Amino acid sequence: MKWFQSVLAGQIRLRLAYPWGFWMSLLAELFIVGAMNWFLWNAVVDSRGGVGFEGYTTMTLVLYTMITSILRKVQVNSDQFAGMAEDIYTGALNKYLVYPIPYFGFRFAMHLGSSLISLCQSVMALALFWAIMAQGSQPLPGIGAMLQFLILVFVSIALRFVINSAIQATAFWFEQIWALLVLFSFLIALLGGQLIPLTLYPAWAQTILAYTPFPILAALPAEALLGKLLWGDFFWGLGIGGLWTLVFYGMGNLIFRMGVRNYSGIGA
Amino acid sequence: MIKVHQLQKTYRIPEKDPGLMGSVRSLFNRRWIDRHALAPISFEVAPGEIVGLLGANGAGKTTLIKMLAGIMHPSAGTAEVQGYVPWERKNTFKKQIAIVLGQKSQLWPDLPASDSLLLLREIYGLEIDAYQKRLDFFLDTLDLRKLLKVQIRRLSLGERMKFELVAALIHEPKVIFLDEPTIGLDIGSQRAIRSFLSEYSRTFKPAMILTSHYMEDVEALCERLLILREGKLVYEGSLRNISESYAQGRNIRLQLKDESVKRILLQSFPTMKEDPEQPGLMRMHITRDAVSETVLGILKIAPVTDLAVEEEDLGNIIDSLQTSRKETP
Repeated sequence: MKWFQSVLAGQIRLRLAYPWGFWMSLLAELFIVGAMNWFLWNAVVDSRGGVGFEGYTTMTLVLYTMITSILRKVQVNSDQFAGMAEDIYTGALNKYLVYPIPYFGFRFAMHLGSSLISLCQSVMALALFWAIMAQGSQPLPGIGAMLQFLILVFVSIALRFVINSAIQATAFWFEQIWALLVLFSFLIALLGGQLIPLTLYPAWAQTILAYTPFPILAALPAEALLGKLLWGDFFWGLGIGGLWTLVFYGMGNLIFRMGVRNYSGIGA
Repeated sequence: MIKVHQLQKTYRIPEKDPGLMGSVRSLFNRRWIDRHALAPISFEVAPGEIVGLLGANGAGKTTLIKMLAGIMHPSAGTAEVQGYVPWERKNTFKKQIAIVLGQKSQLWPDLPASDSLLLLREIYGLEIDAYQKRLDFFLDTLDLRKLLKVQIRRLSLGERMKFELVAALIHEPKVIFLDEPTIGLDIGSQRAIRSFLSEYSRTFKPAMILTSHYMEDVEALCERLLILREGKLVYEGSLRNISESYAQGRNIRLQLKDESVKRILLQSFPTMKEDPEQPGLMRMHITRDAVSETVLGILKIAPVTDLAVEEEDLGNIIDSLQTSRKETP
């Protein structure tokens, strides 16, 4: 598995060679997301006669949405959002098929390398904002919260990767899979609690969603960093996340094996 | 060693009527057509042999190479490369082959070649000493040492192709597929790559299949040819035999000493033509059997300063074979 480390290190070097694009998009997004949610949640709380939501202040809600924004950037690297499908469409898959290593493994190493850099950059920006702007409303996370957050982030990176891989492997049959990837992003926004904390959803919805792969992609890591995730819920989320990762990994592999039989290596 | 038996490939591709209505109809009722890219084909390539795989665009060359490299599955037939079925893609098989696609880079454009090569060392699990020895051989032979740390995207096309070859050959493959390795290169780079491949073949004796549209590549490197036309194998044999089998004619070229005999000569040999750009230079095409008789006839009538009997151009013969202007036996 030394090749895995080499690909990972290569991708990190690559990302460090061009760091400014990510910084610009991250800061712009955090500013927009932060400002928009600040005004939105202030208006909502005002309309309720100044009564907030249980467990959340306006600033905590802003922090929550900023964390979920960061998670999205960490899980889905813009340079690789549809990279596997592109490999299939352009014939770039050819070179990976002749290497004596698994294609998904190679791609995951690239993905993880990008995600690690995105995570470091994002956490630095968030920590700065939190320390300066939000420490009065929400104390900085303790070691337990950080540990929960980091573990859940790594599981979510793997889960999002295998889900996207399974979707992109359908590119062997479909001429366009972009819409499917975007649709799945919307599902995470709605069912994963990317825009609103899941604890604000009806109890029955929360019960059902607890069995799906969506909360670990947004709500659970965000709640963990805000110190709101109980250890029992953490382990449940971890187990469900791990299970879905295995399911989608199996599905992705199966779809890929079937699809590669139709592959014509166009473009070369 | 490559053994191919009745290998064939048929693509199933969607067909759509033109216009908006055609697009809408194809959403609900998609029509499929079969495109036969490769008719059943059989051949063998021995270790140390370089076989030229020739054909016009769309003849099936790349399809065949991709199947033998394990990238594509065939529709029918069997193939063995180093004793493995390529499309089962076993790692032990992959470690014994290499493919160079001239139109597709296998290196990482944003990284220097040294990083890409180190990564390949990990991918193929090469021992550091063996890797360094081979790398030194390539860097010296191809004069690449000073470019090792330059980002791939900043290299010229010729330099990039040399690194593509290094990347493909670093693990000492026993079977090498070269798909148009000199495409788009300047004459100097083409020569350098041809010379390197020739030396590599002599030294390491891999089985090689080379596709190219350049006759210089074929003449310099290939002892044997496979010529495809519309997916069918229309010629399999040595480069030397192709002239004997297909060059049934000869071209006669002569420069007249005295132009006053031109009219008599043209009357005696009605197929003879004067070169419109060089007055006094006469050309004619005859059958191989008629060479002596024609030359004697010419010399009897006209004093000449120069006379040459030339074989048909090999490139023209191959071009005729692959584009069906020449009948195959």
